[in-house]
Amino acid sequence: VTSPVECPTCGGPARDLPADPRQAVKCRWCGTAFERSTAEETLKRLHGEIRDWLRKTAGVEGAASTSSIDVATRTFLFNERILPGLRRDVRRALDEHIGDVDGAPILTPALLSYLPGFTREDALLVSKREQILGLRSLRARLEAEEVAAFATTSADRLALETLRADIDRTIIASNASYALASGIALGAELARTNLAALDGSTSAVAEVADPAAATVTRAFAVRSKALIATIDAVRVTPPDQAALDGAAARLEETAQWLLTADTRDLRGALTSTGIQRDATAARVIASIAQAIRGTTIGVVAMLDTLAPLASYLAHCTRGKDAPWVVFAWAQALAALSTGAGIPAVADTSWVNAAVGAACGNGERPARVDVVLEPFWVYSARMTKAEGFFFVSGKQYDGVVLVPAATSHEGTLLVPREHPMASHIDRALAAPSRPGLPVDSAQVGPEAGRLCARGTLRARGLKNVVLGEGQLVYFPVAFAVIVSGTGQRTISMSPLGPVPADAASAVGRAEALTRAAIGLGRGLATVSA
Amino acid sequence: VSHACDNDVMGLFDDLRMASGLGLEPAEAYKRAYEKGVLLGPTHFAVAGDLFQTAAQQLQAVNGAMAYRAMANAHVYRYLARRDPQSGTLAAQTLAQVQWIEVPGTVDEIMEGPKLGAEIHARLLEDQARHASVGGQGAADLFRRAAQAWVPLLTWRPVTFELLPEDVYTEDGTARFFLNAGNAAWHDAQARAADDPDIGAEYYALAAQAFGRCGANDLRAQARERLKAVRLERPCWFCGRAVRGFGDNLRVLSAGASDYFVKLAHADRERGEALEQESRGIYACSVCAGAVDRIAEARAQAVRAEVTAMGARLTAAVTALESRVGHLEGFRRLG
Repeated sequence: VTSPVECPTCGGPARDLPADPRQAVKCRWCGTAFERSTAEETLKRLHGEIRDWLRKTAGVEGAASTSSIDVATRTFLFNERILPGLRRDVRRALDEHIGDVDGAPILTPALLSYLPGFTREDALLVSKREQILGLRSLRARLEAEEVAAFATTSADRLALETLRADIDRTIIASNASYALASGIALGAELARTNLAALDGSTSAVAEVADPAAATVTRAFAVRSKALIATIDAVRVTPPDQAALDGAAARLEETAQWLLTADTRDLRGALTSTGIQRDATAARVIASIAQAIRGTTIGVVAMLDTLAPLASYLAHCTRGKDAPWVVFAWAQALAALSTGAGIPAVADTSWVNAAVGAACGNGERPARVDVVLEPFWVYSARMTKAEGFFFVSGKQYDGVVLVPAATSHEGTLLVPREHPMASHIDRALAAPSRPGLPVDSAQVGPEAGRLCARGTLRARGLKNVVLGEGQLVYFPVAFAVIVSGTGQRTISMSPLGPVPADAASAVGRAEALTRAAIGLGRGLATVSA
Repeated sequence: VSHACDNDVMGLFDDLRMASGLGLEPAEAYKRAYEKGVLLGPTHFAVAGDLFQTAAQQLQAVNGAMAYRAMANAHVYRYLARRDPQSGTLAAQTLAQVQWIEVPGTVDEIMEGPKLGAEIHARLLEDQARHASVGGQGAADLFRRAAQAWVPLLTWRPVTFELLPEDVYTEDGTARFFLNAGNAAWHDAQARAADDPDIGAEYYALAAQAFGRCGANDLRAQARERLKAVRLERPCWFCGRAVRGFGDNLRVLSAGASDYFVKLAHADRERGEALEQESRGIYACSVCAGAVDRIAEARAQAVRAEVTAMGARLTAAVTALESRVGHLEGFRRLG
């Protein structure tokens, strides 16, 4: 049965409704179940509200009385009373009560909820869901026959259409974002339907209303297609890495293109922020796929496993760092659950000697935990003054290690000729299966770089130039040393003491191991 | 032993030549600019600039290309030392003609000269914009030009900030683009918000997003706060006009509205919005609020005049009384 009935939640058109008004159907746009009778009641209520509003605004009682008003009066009323009121209500609802929806990401996996640009404040399409669904009554007003009867010219009708398109775009984008926030696998179909609608439905109106909007419209189309490609690529195991990388790159290019196409166009720049955030999310998902390559783990399973650990991303203050940090987690989890390799310096033969040497008179180690701790490693070039009478500057090469786990203090500098530099090169060239618990990275390479530069400058080194950061795991021994008077904890690395919070590091490593066991169990179930 | 002694003497001799700069070959003069300038760190960059200029003069006769490179380095290190527009402009112009140049701060890492020139050009525009923003004249356009200057370098990690860490948000050209775009939008918003709150709001929204994109979260919070204020639209309690832009066009006047008025506000949503429920004050457009201010000021002036006149009368009366008391005291003393 074809019906003009709309979903009472999102206002999306419903089709193929059952004849029985009590039989529940699911909205293909927002996924809410509703009965035909409820939808009809809602429509009736909305029409009642529209009639009240029209009576207050234009002093008319509905379609019947509107037809008795001459065209000039209708045009006058539309332009002086109805349209300004509608514009004010739409702008206030969108700008004042909801915010910059164009700057909000559509792709908002729970994993990113602690990252700048993805917090509740930024993810408006999800956090302002109630207000966005409240736009439905405004939308009903914009498409009501009673209101349309006053729009006598094509310009008037276009003005109504433009306002409606703004609302439609917001509701559709929110439907997609809300569906994806509940989990990519769960919300994939709903998200796809809405993204496909976002691609096509609003563009025509936007371009007619303002040809300059064509740039933004094209960008929206690319965004929708890239997000659909991302959703499709993660639903298969193994994930389609090329499609994921391609989609992330398209989003990044589109965001950049919007900026450089016309940097004076505010809409372009504003829209580029939302697209850039989607690009970050897509890049994070692509980095997960990269980390689990060669394993039997799926991206969706990894996303689900990582989501409870999202709070660790709070230390990651740069969006650019997020894909790296998430990659590190996913890599560690994949290694722990499937035995895949990670770039680690595995030698722990130094632990006993180092802990023994750290014990003073009457002290003995009560407990020693050895954990693979992540470090950002940068090749470094720096200079320093040498000589006494004939002072001159010399350039040195080295390797800089910055702890990536809890804090980024404790930068270590290894000269290029030190044996550890070769160990690091070997670890990067040939990843190995971790034989120890693994801690998770919390700061990214950019934050690590800032820290390294600051520390090396404080040590009197000049002109510090760092290469790209790479993650390498080093065994760190956390020893509890007891004596007659009490106990103390030390953290030792193969390069000497490192500042680290033993309890946190061991706790995080245990959490990661538990998560890996859960993931491994899930994999075993799938394969069984 | 004799051979080792010869080597020591030669080494000492070389050290002396390098220390004094006397009797150096052109290539050695170029090397000296590094050893006695660049590699000693940013505090010696001005010295490096002068040493590169000396090397350029010596190289002129033997290797024109190297002489040009030495001159470009002289301008680069002078700019890094002094941050003056003149050295910066010369550096950018010279670098445009140099295909390859050493990465600032290093001896043997090479980069494209025009790229370094573009970075220095962008930094010059940033400096100009910053000066203008202090003076408040034309800052928006200058920041916009600075942002545009970073567009060819969006994915580039700037190399000059690494040496002189006096600035933040320097991780790549994109961060610099957004910092400058945000500043441009902020200045535009400030200039336009009072006359056109809608445009002002768009600029504040742009500034907030641009600051967010470069990681300047404090600036983003400020822009968001202004955005919220500029977008606020309320009817004026006095004239009933819907006015947008809290601060510029709309104010809250202290009124101490009673519960009755709060009830009225709930009953009539449109007009009720003129009541600020939290403080129980009323929204007034800047014209009505200005009129109220003027009426209040006129009344205050009248009261001030009355009080001044009264004060003068009282002072005169007190003076007269004091005079009479003085006279009476005099009579009393006379007995």
